[in-house]
Amino acid sequence: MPVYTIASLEKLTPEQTYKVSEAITDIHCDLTGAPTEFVNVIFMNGQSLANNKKVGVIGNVRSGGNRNRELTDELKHRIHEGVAEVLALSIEQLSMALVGVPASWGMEGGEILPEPGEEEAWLRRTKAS
Amino acid sequence: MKKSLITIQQGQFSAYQLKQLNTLIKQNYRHYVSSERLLITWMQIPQDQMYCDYKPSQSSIITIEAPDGFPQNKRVNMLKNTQDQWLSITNQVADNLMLTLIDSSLFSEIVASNQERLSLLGKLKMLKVILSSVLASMIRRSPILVNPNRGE
Repeated sequence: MPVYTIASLEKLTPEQTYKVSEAITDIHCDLTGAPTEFVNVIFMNGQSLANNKKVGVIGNVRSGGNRNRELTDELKHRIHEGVAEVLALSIEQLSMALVGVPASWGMEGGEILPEPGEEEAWLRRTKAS
Repeated sequence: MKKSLITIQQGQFSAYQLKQLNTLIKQNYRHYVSSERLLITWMQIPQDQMYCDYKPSQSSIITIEAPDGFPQNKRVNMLKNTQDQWLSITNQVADNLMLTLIDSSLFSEIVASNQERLSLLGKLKMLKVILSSVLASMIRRSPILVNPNRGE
């Protein structure tokens, strides 16, 4: 986690999918401090979106820890802008939502996910095992 | 009835492995979580449509609905045992497997956010895809497999 899903009616080109995944990974990790290996980006095309949007982004992200409301709002805003920029779309042509999931409800690398902000110790443990 | 969404790459596992994994999740759900029926939907994503850490992904992502207020010690047991058994069937490494066991209220919120993203036509198309996948699964006695990439 995070898992971002990108829905669109038209299939994005390989270059677009790579650049969107790169932008989301960069923004998410820059802002939250999460390691890049946590970030999953999944594309789904052929989807008719509400309100005539071209692209719909949903991120399921860890909640709690060092993530307050301001940081979550900033993350949502910057991902929204970043994906729009890569796809040369206006902000209005994209929908964007984030859903917070408690870290302790998930497991990766054989361990319960770390609380946001406690990734370093978690990575040391999982890489050592 | 509770639900589970499992995201994998298309062609990542054999039909036999998928059946084993489907059975594993259902058995563990019954053992660790609840006797309530669990409906598992497998989302198969083409390899070039899924990334992790800037690269095409090798990951499998398992999301399972649990009753609200599910005890954390039982959650950890379910996740740990399911992970170990999954890895022994697939030979994946633990870094390529993410499991979440999410309380029902939040699971519903996640499903709702995906629904709200779609237009009425989009919802109807998705419903048609899921219903035909359920029917195919009943006929073939196989897991429910859905490819959400319909513009392929």
